[in-house]
Amino acid sequence: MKTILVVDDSSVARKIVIRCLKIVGHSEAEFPEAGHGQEALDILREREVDLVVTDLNMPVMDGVTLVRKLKASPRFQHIPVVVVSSLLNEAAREKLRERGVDLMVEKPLSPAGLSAVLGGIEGGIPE
Amino acid sequence: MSDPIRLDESIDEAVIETLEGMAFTDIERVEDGDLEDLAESASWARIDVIEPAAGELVLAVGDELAAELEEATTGERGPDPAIRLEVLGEMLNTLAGSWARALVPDGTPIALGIPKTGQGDWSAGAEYELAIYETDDEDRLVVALRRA
Repeated sequence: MKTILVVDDSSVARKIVIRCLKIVGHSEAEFPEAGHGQEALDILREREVDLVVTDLNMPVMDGVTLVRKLKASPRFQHIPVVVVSSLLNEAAREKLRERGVDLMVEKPLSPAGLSAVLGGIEGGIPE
Repeated sequence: MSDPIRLDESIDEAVIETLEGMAFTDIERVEDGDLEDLAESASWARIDVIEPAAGELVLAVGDELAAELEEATTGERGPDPAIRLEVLGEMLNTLAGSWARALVPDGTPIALGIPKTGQGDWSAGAEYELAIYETDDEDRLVVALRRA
């Protein structure tokens, strides 16, 4: 069973992401949730995660910092990260690409948009 | 030169796209409207605009529309007003990002604060520019912009 960590300070946004993930074929996955980047790191240290879906604009630790820490960590750098944000213009996309993130989707999130991005994971979501 | 942040057609597109995408709700901008019913019995969200220019964007709706948006977004209309307000906060966050992206050339940094929400007086004084929208059921939604 896949484990997909959903990171957003809004519980409503997390619910929307999980609903979309279930619609696009991950209804059997487990979905631990975190309200910000630090909480996400705490969860990642305690359990195996196959995919991280994260917002950018969050208190305590934002999504860019979370991504930077994940990609700098030998333990976590293999985990695919999808960024879901309303702030994804070219400047933000470039900043994320520099940090090793290629999977990005704009809010408002739709199952089709999420599915297209998940299709870009080479070899699918690892287990 | 126009203001870097403004309530032009870019806010209309952001509001329409967000309401449709998140809550399957059709809405259109109206020229003006009676906002008395929104003066006190409103649910609101506000967010600081940091870049491309400083300001504040406010989203306010009446109680009935707030409940409808909650139901359309989460699948239920619960007794907890905190969930209703969180829906509005996420909606404002989403539409503010779409609006900011459309305002400036691609590649220009955009940044927003974290949404705050509440109920009651949403304090849109004379310093706020308003954009008023109406659903098919004639419920009003207001977006207000204050430039810093």
